[in-house]
Amino acid sequence: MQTPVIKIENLVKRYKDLIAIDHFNIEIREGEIFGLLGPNGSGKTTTINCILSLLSFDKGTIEVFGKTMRPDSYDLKRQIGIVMQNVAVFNTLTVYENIDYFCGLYVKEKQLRKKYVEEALAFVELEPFRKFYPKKLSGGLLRRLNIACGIAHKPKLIILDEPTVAVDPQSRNKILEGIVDLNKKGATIIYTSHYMEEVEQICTRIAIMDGGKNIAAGSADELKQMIKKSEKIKIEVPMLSETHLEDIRLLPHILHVSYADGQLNIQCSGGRHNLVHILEYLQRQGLSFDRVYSELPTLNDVFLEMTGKELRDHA
Amino acid sequence: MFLHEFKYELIRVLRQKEELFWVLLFPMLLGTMFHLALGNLNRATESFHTIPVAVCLESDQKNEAFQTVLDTLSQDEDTPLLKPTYADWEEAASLLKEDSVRGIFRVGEDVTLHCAPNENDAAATLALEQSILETIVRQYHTNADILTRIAQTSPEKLPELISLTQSDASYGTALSLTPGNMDFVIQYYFNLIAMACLFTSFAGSYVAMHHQANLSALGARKCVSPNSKFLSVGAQLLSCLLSQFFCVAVNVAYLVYVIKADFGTSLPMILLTAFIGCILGVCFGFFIGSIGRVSEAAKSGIMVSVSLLFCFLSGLMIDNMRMLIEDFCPLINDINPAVLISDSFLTLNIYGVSARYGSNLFTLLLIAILFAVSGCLLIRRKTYASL
Repeated sequence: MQTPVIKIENLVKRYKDLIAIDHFNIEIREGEIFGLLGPNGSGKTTTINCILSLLSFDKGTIEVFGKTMRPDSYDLKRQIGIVMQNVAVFNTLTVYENIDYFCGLYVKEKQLRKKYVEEALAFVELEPFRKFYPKKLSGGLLRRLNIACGIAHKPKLIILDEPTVAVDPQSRNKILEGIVDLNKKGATIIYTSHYMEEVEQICTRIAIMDGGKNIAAGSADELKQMIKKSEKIKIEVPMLSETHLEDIRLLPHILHVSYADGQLNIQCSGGRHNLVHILEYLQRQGLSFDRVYSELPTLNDVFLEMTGKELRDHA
Repeated sequence: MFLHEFKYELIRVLRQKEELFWVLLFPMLLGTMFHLALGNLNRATESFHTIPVAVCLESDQKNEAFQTVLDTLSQDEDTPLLKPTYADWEEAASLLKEDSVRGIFRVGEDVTLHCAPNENDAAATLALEQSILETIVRQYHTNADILTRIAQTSPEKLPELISLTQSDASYGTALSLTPGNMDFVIQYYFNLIAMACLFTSFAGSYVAMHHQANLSALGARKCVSPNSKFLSVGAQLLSCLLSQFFCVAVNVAYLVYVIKADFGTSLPMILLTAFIGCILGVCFGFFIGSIGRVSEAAKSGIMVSVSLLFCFLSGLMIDNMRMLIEDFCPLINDINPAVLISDSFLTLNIYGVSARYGSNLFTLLLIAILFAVSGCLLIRRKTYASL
C-alpha cells in the first residue's frame, strides 16, 4: 500500500479553554487535490500550521511522507511548498527577486534556480511584471506572486491556504487553473477555502471541517450522497389543487412538497429521473406549466444538513 | 545559503527608505543644523576684529610713550588691534555716541579711557572690546610706573628695562595637553554619530521580526523553509551591520569633508569606533525585535524613543546633561550606549588610543553580545503555541 503524503491521527490543539482542533483525522494520498472546506474559524489554517510544525499541538500524530514532521525536518520541508493566507513577500524586492529569494531557500544551484524562477514567472503569468515592486501590483497579481514564491522550487506537496481571498474573478480562475495544472504535473495539493464552489471545482477529495472536527470526507459526489436532500425542483404551475399535491407526494423519492404563488417546490431524497416523473404526472393530469428549474445539492447543503448552519453565512 | 541571505538582505536594506532616512539622512540634516547654529557661534566668540578707538590729544602735553604704544598696536598688517581716530574731545564724544568707536583715549601726561555704557544687544562683544581697551591702559600705567621707579632708584638699569618691555618676552612655554580639538562643538558631532549608530537598530529589528512565525507572514514562510534559523539570522545581521556601517561612514565623511568638523584624530580610528557603535545598534535592534508579540510600528516607536533617550542623556540636546548624570547617577553613563560611543570619540580625540578608550569599546561590545545572545534566546523557539 502506498504511503500517504500526509497522515493525521487524533490531532488535538487547544488555546486555553478553546478546542481549535478536536481529534482530527485525515489521510492525503499522492496525486490528490485535497480540499479542506469550512467556515472561518473552523480550524483549517490551524491544521495547516500543525502540519508545517509551526504550531505545537496537544495530542495526536502528524506524518509527512511517512515521517514525523519536526521543526528541523529539513529533508521533508524541502519537498513542501506553502502559499500562506496572508501575502508574504518583500516590498523592497522586485517580483523576480522575490521569487528568486524564496526559491533560493530551497534550490542552491544558481542555473537551476534561474530556470525554476523563469518557469514560475511564466506559470503565474507575471513575466511582464518581473521588474515591478509588489506595491505596484493589483491584489490579484500580488496573490499570483505569493503563489509563485511558494511553488517555484517545484515541491512534491503544495499547501495553499485560502489563496483566492480578496481576488477578482479573472485572477481567481487563473489561480484555480494553475492549481489543477500543478497537480497534473505531479504535485499533491492541499487546498483550504471557505468557497465551496472552488473546492467542488478543483478538489478530488474534500474534508469538511467545523469546530475543529472533520465532519465528513470524500469526493464531492460522495459527500452529496451522504445527505437526505438531493435534487430541488421548482415548476411554475398556475393552477394546482391539494389533491394534486397529495398525488405528487406519493411519487418515488419525494421528500417535501409545497405550493405558493403559482410555484411548486419539491425537495427530492435521492433517486434518478425525479423531474421526468413529476412532469409526466402534470401532463397526465392536463395541467399546464411554465418554467422548470432543477437544482442539484451543493456542498452548502451538505454542510447545512450536517451542522445545522449555512457555510455561506460564515464566509 | 549564507551568501544568498546576505545578498538579498543587503538589497533590502539599501532600498528601505525609512531605515536610510534615520541612519543616513537624519544625522546629516541634524549635522548641518548644528553647523549652522553652533559653527557661527564659534566664529563670533573666536574671531577677532580691530577695535575702533578715538584718541583725544591734549595739545600742550605730549605723551610720546603712549603714542608709541598706539602706533605699535595699530600697525599689524593683517588685523591690527586698534584703529585710532585722532579727534578733539567734542568730536570724539560724538563718535562714541554714534557707536563709531568703542572708547576714547584721552592722552595727556596721563592717559584715561572713556567708554559708553553697555545697553544694546551686542553687549557681550562690546564688553570684550572695552575690556581690551582697559587692559591696554592698565598695562601702560603699570609699565610707566615701573619705569619711573627704576629711573629713580637704579637709573643705570633703565635701558635694559626699556629693552625688556619692548621685547614682549615670554618666560613660559604654552604646552597643549592634547593634539585633539578642544572645541566644545565637536561634542555635538560625536553625539550625532552615536545617535546614527543607535539608529542602525531598525535594521536589526527587521531581521528579528522576519524570522519569527508569530510576528509576520514572512517569518512564517522563513520558518517553513529547510534552513537553520541561526544561519539565516547570522547572514542577515552581518549584511545589516555592513550596510548600516556604510551609512554611518558616509555621515562621518559628510561631517569631516563637508561640514569641516575637526575630529582631531585619525579617521580610521573614528571609523573603528563607529563600526563598534553599529554592532551595538544592530544587536540592540535585534533584541527589541525579538521581544514579545508587539507590532512592527510599536517596536519602531520603542527603538526611536529609547535611542533618543540615550542620546538625550548623553547630552545631544543639552550639553551639560552628561555631567549632571555623572554627579547624581554615574552608573547610567557607564552603561548608556550613546555615552559610551560619544565618550569613545571624545577620548580618542583628546588622549588618542588609551585605556579609557579601550574600556569603552570593550563595554560596548559586551552590551552588544548581551543583546545578541538575548535576542537569539528569544527567537530560538521553533514551534509556537499560537500564531
